[in-house]
Amino acid sequence: MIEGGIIIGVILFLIGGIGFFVRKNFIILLMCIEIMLAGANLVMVSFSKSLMSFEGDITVLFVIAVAAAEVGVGLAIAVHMRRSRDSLDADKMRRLGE
Amino acid sequence: MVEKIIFFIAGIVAVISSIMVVLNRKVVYSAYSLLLLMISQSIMFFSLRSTYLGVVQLLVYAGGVIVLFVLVISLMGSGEEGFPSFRWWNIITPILLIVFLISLIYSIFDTLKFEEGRIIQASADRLGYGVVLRNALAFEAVTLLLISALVGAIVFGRKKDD
Repeated sequence: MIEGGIIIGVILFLIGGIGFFVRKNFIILLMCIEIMLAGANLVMVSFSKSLMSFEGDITVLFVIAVAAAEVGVGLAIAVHMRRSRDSLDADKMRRLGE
Repeated sequence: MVEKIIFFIAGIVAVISSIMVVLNRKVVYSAYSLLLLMISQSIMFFSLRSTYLGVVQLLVYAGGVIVLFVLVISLMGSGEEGFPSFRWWNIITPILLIVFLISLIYSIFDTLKFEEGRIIQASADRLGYGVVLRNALAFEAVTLLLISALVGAIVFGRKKDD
């Protein structure tokens, strides 16, 4: 089960990374970051189970909190982009400050 | 044994739903696939005996983050997007990523041997002791980060003239 957790976590990270490089919609990019964080969380929990400790679980707790904060700020930026230039294309995103 | 079967079924569901997040054309469907991914990952946490993490995953992701995604998408429209144009860096970077991660996973399983021993349970009281006694500074830093993220979201989200 531990090996399976590591392999599934790496596959999730891979899918998230490929999606981050291929897609262009800003909200999809945020979702791909979430997938990568989910894969990393799964690998960390599996390693902490194999070491018979729970330090990895504590780290995953902090990662979940940071990811929630990141999604809040990212979606606020998406709303700002949509309002100021009426597009969510990440390729056209050059100057956030205007 | 039953735990292992449930774990692998949830893993397969997680992989398929994450592929659906990347491949869907409509952003709302991607958000619902992400919801499925988070639920199946919480099932994986439960079957790895990290019960508190499973509960937190369900509460924070399925209850907070995905609802926020769906709310923002349905509030302002998804932003239409055709299928991505395949330029050269769109092909080179996934291939590089695949090669790096396959070599990483090979080196992990080449050097480490995992023994299926007793899986200890990371319950809420153990995690609470660990957080408060040994990681108190990181805990306070997370609270500061959440406050500053709140301020940042308010500043980005308001209109220009008010």
